[in-house]
Formats: sequence, C-alpha cells, structure tokens
Amino acid sequence: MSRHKAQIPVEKDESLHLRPMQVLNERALEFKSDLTLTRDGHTADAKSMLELTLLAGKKGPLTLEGRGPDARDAVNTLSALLDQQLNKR
Amino acid sequence: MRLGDFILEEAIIRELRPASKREALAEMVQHFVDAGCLEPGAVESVVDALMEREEIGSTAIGHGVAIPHAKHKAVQRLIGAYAHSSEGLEFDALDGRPVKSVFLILWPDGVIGPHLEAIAQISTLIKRQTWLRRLLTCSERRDIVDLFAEVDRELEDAVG
Repeated sequence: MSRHKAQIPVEKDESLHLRPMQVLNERALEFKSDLTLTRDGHTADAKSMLELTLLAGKKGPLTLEGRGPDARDAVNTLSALLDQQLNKR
Repeated sequence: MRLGDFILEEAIIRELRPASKREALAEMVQHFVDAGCLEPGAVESVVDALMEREEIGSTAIGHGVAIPHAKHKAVQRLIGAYAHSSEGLEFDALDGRPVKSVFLILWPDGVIGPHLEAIAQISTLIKRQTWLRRLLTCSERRDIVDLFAEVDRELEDAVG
C-alpha cells in the first residue's frame, strides 16, 4: 500500500469547471487507489463526480493525493491530465 | 451564493413531461421567457448553446441529477431553472442512471465563471441525502421553493 501526493500548478488561479472534473473523474475510476483532490481547504473524492463539483469555483493550489496499490501511477497520470486540462487550453 | 439568488420561482417545473434531452431543456428555457428574463426569439439559440455543451460531455453528475449550463448574450444575469421528472430523462449520465432532477443555469456572455459557485451550491444540496430525498418527493412548486430557502439558510448559518 503506497501513498503519493502531487501539487498541480494552476495558472491565473483558474477555477475548476465541470468538464475538466469530468475528465478527471472518468480516469480516476480506472485506478484501484483511493484518490482525493483538495483545494482551498475542501477535499473531494476524485471518484465521485458529485464531490468534485463541490470544488467548483474554489481557488488556490490543487493537491491530488492517492493511497493504495497504484497510488504513484494514479497521481502521476491524473496530475498530468489536470495540468493539461487547466493550463494548456 | 444562494440558490434563491439565481433559481427563479417561475422557472421551477414540478413535473416535466416525458421528453428528449433537447425538448426538456427547451421547456425549461421557455420558463425564463414566461418569467420575463429572456426574449422569446432567443429560446432556440439558448437551447443550441446548452446542447453544444452537452455534446462536449454530459452535465449529469450522478445521483439522478444534471446541471446543464451555458453562457449566452441574450441573458442579463445569472439565472437558473429547476425541473423534476418522475419518469427520468435520458441524459447520457456516466453512471447510466436516468436524470430526475435538472438544474439549468445561464449567465451572460463575457462574464467568467459565475455559474461555478451556483454548481457548488447545488452539489451541496444533492450531497445531503435528506435534502435530495425531499427534493424528489416535493409535490408542489411552493415546497421546492421552501426547500431551497431552507438549504440557503442552513448553509449560510454553517458558514457563519
């Protein structure tokens, strides 16, 4: 069981829109590990679209954390995906 | 942001007629016209904008809830509608479930992100089982308005 964490830099304090969260949610479901996304003191289960929508409109740095057998792979894959969704549009 | 700040009482539909996604959205948008917040001539174009967003990816977020949303130049401020469907609508949800609660949000073109706080407020309502259950069993428009007001009050108190 491993634990892995990554911070995703967000240019211009970009808000989280629904679509990037849906993309994250779909990919998160492919991993075995527990995955959470934290922003502005609010933590959401990345495998629950409803919980992710609670982060809509929040500002500040994004932290992705995984706990489980494939945590490292999951966090690396999902943080790259989020970075692409938020910063390279 | 409070639900009562953007969901128009006149745009709350207690029971949506069985319909396709587009027809359901069109009926909801028509209620903005009836409420005096949208020109009749803009309905088609607003529905097109909502459907374009749906084509990028369904706005169904699970739990039988969808939050279709779009910006549009015909809209003067953030406005919302709510509709309930007992039968459930086919909304291409990721979990495959039909959608029974639709929250529709529109905001003016050129304004960035006012809908995000609205989405977060709606999600807070949905997350609490007792509120979602009440929403699904409200028999009158008035009951839905009262529930939204209660949610707003309670969340405001929680923030302090």
